[in-house]
Amino acid sequence: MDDVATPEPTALSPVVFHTLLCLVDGEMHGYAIAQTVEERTGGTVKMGPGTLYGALHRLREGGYIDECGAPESGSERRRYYRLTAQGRETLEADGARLEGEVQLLRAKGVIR
Amino acid sequence: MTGVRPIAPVCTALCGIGAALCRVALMLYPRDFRRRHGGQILSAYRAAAAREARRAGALRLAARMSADLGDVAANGVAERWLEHRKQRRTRRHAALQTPTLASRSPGVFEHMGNNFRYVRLALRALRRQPMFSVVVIGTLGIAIGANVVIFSVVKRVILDPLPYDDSGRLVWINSSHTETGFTPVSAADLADWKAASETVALMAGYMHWSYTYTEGDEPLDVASMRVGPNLFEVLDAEAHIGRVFSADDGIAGGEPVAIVAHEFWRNGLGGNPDILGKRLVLDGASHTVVGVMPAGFEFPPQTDNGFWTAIAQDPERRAERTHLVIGRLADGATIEQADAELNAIAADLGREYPDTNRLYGVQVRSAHEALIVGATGTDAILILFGAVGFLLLIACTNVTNLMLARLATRDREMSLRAALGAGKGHLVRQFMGETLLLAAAGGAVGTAIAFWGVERIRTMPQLPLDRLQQLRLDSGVLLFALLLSLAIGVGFGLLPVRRANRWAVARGLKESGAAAGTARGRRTLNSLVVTEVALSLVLLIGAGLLAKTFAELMSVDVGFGRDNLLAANVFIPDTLYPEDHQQVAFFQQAIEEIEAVPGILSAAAVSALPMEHAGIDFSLPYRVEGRPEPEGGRARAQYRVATAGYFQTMAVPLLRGRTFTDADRDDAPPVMLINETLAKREFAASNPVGESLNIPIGGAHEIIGVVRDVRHYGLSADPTPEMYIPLAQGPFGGMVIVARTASDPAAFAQPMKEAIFAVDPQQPVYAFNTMRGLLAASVAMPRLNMILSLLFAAIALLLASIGIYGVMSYAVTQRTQEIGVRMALGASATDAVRSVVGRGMGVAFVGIALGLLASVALTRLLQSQLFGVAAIDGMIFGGISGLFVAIALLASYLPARRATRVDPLVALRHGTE
Repeated sequence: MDDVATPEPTALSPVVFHTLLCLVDGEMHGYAIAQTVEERTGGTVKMGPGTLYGALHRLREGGYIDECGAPESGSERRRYYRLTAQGRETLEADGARLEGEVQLLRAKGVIR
Repeated sequence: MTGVRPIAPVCTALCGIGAALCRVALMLYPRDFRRRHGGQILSAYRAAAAREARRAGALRLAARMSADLGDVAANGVAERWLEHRKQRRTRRHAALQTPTLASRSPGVFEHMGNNFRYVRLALRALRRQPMFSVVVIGTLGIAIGANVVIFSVVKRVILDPLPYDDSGRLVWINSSHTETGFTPVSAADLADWKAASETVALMAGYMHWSYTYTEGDEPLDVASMRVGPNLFEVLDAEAHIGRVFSADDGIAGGEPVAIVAHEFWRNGLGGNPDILGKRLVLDGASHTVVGVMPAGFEFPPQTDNGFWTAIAQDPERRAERTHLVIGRLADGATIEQADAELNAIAADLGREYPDTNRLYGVQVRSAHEALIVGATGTDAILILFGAVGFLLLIACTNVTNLMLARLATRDREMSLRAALGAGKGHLVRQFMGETLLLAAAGGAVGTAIAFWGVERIRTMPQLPLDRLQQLRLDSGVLLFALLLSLAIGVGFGLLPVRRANRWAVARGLKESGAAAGTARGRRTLNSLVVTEVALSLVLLIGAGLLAKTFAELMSVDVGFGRDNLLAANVFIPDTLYPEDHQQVAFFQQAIEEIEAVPGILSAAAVSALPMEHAGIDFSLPYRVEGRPEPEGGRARAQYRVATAGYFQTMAVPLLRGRTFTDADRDDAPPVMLINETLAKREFAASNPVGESLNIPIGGAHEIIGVVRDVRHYGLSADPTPEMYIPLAQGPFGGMVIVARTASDPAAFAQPMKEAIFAVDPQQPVYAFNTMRGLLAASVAMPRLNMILSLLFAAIALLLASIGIYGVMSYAVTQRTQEIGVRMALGASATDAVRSVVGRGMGVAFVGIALGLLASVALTRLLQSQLFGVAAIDGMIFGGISGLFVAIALLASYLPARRATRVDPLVALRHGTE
């Protein structure tokens, strides 16, 4: 079953990676995540509203992130998201994987 | 970070449309997902749009919103599919266990199954009425097709951004004379602007140039650009091979360098990879190749150039305004700021150099606007876009009419469904399924028509705009077609919402669904007829005005003989013919050689030929000798140079005096001919022959004769004052050679070329045109305008006639019972016909009146496209109104006649059936 949510050493997609990364800093609502990612990556990772909420929905179903109420009340209730322990582990695992690959590239002299 | 800008109204409108479409796209999601995230997605969509609207223009906003919309739609489909897969898996799983109540509850999958069922239901319903479906799909197809074709033109010509990086920051800058407006820029001013401006980070001057490239057998004339070395930096363009110019290139006294266009490199130079460092001979001077641009690179946009050479921009010459200027705004600067700053700089320069700069300001525009939107032809295209919009409205009116009639006949079916437990939502959704299916089929037919139409336009022999050659149905255009069809389908699907209440309470089971029977139903049908008549009247009047314009243009007296004229351009470079007398001798010998060709009756040379945009064409200020200096400055007239045989060759009549002879040489007293307009302006009734005009080139010239006015700048442009100087007294290196032939002029291109090669085998001859061809090219835009608007008007007329007839005969059918009763009570058939026709005509007259009012308001927008006809032309307005009266008369008379032939008893029964 592909729904099993164990952190595997496969690469995270850029959308998932950046969404999780955003939430490391704390709780955020959906649109703020999209905006932060777009600015952080200089526009190379653009998340349309559909992609964004598709990713949030799936990450939540997988238990990587959690929903929480709005810190302040606005006219429309905004939903906020925060990283779960499992999400954090996944990000760490991806970091370890990336680190390993960087070391490989160094060893081969591709990068310095 | 740019400052917060107010949001333009067009952006607000776009945001509204986008949000509405986003709501529609959300319907693609499974219900649970939509309930959970729909609101958030919509507000994220809105927030992103609002942010873009504040930061960028309408084009960028539209691009972003379309992209986000596509993202929502695509993800909606993906979620739906995931949901479907999950459901199937659980169901298979559940089937192995004991069935429980829970597995029967209507979930997301059921919902989707329902949607499929609606499609199946819709297909079945439409198959039952194939004529209805064919008519609706055909009508929508034609209208959508026409809209898609014209949208593809609008997109290609107007909407597509310039093909450079971050092209939104490119600006086009020109000097502006307080009276005459647009002027190119002098190198000296450009240098001062560059030094002083903070809002425009980079500026580069450029000018069109035509190089003689000598290599191989035949000298070639190559359209090129001479550019400031930093042009490529302004455009942010890189070379394909080698490099672009650096600041050291083009310095006076330095080595001449050239960059080659990809096309010319591949076709003209054989794609030689070792091209760098090679020397090319341009205008007789050696240029070193430093780079080749990538394929498809063009500057200015939509032009084919062979070379870009670097020019030194001599900052000494302030009065010579010859450069066009493109610039790149500094970070955060706006066009308005740049305009204000450069005008302040120009005012300073005006104080510093009053002789040359006192009357000059600066104009800064976006490069897209200046190079594309402001170009000729865009008005006409937007008008056509309006016309197809009308056509679409007419088509939709027709379809609405058909749908309403069909809805009325389905009251029973729908009420029965309602009675059997279908909710109001289900009924509306079933109908929506049908309309979406019809609109989708219409969209597909329309797209097919558009493919055909775009191909037809692209391959037209006389295209008014070069860009139309690259017309195609790209993804943006297809998206437009998709959204248009979707909007139409949803719009029609909402028609029965109010009616569904009736079904739900099962009133339809009892009533004989009579749309026209109730007062409200009749009002609806009447307003459809009014709309249709009004809309098509406006279209027809517009098309009539454009057709009359074209007829007027074709009958204009151009002032010269149109037939059997062949022209070619010859540009002899200063480097090879440095002395004036050499240039004069070249053209005289060339004309002698050409006249010796059998079948050529006469030949001549002129600096600028009527109807041709090439050539050397400028005006000079003049003063009539013996009169005081005019207050408020000297008047100007176009300065043209011609050989002795020009007027005879072109068949321009001489009205007074004599034309040039070979005796009017450079050592003879200076003479000139003037045209009628100039003669009338300066000498009114008196005889100008013997008077003299003093001009900056050559001083006082005696007027030896007056020639007929010719239309130089197109058929619709009034003649301007002109002075003609004999070639020997005002030599030019670039001339148009024109010959009158005894038979088909196109056949003489090769003999004419050979005759010129007999004088100088290295001299290129280019741009062969017949006068007929030039005239046809000059009316290409009015012609395309007329063809397309007549086509649209014809379709509109057909649709409107069908629509009016349909509504009238439907209304009469509904009144059959009433007519039967009246006739049974003694009314004559004439009375009955009069009553029906009277009502029909009443409705038609309201439509005609509204259409005329709308035409009065709208044809004013056409003004710029009209010639020889007023925007409110009595004959066209009256004639077309009359046509509609006739159509309405026929459309109501025919069904009325039919109704009176019915046996009153049958008619009575018909009503109670």
